[in-house]
Amino acid sequence: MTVARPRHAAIVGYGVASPLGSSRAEFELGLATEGRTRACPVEFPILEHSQFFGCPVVGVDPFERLAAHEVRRMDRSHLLGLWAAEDALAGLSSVERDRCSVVVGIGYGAAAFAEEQFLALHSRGIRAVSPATIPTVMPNSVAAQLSMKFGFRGPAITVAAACAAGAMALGEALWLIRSGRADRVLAGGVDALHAPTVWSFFQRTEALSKKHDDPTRSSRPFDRDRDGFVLGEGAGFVVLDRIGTSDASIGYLMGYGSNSDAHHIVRPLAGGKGARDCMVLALHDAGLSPGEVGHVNAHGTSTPLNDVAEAAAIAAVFGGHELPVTATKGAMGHLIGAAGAVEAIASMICCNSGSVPPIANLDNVDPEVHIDVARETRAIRRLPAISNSFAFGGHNATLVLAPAGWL
Amino acid sequence: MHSESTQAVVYDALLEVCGLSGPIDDAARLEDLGIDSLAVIEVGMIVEERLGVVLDANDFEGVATFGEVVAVFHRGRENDCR
Repeated sequence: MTVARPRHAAIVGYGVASPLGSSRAEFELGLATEGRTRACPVEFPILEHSQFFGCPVVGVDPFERLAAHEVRRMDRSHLLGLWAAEDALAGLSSVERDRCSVVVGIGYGAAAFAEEQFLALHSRGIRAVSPATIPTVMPNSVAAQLSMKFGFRGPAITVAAACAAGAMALGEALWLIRSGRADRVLAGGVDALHAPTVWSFFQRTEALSKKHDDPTRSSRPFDRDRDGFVLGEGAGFVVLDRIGTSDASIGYLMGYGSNSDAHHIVRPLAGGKGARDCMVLALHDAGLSPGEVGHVNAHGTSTPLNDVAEAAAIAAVFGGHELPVTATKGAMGHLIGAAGAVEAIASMICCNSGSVPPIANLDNVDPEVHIDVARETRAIRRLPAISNSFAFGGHNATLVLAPAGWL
Repeated sequence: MHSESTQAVVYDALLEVCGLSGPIDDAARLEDLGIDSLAVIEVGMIVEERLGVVLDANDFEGVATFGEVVAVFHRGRENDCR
């Protein structure tokens, strides 16, 4: 006998640690009102003067929730992940723990903890290296910590897909629900890469903005004068439930599309073909036509190549439909492994509020961009939204979110 | 006599690594104190730094109680003094 299972999953909770704030109220306020990039110079004691600017998380004090000896054994990525996950699950009823899973998207991993150990090894030798290094820097470490913290005994899966990891984590979580393998999934993404070694790696890709003179104007998706992305950090988690569990839905995850450019390790396909196909896959998966979408939360990195390719892809899929496009990286920078999860949460919040925020620093729309980019707060129809994520490696992921009460 | 008691240094290191509080009985089992094999090595690193005692993981083989951990470090200090 086959059992009919719903295609969609209910979102019953969310939590974030972000440059816009790390409580739901602060995040929602920042999302709606921030018109500039929340970026500042970031200092490292081992470097003589700051060579970096970025968007640090605000509003997280790990000692508020954890004992000093627990903080000691964790990387910042764990701390941010635990913070967001705890908020996502706050106040929810309990579900049989064997039926609860964890899916975590991660772009790089425990950068600062690893860096401390490299320094210890090179300066003081192997006896100075923490025995907790492997359990902390292994890519599955955050997923493991979350499953232990909350006693979730279903599969704990880590998705490594650079800037698309957070979105792919939510998408794969949807499949865990659809396939009947879980009734509840804690799904999201994490990255905290404000450590000099990893930061210098990013710098050398020439993908970062060089607007040191005014970091608050550095991230400017779809703007003519954009010159690269701005490294943020953060975590975002949702709690996805099988439809019909007891907690009230605050939104829905309706569909997920993912594909690969199979083209180049950092460069998107010209014309955004991979991105276009990915959006089409997601709409089909959700059972929607382009006219049934109310807004797009673009990947919008503020890099020269991504934004024109993505704009072409959005125009190809939605051309002819009036469709506001926003891009939250303008305000909070690029959260790498967390980006797709935090932006999906932002899309859901916009769906529920009935408006999308303007894209920060969008002063002059790039003449090659032919989509309806939001330059002021825009009212949207109460319809589902799509949230795009495209990654180094050619990984593409699109999520379809719907407002509370949609199903 | 050592200026600083080995027991006090080990106790402080355990506080730092495992967040223990209150007095610890010599007979208390490491397992019951929530001290795993990684924590023992971390405690070793801290004690090594503070007392200059260099020990190997082998030295802790079969060690199961707080008192036994202190004894291992204590012997290490004595050996260093010879």
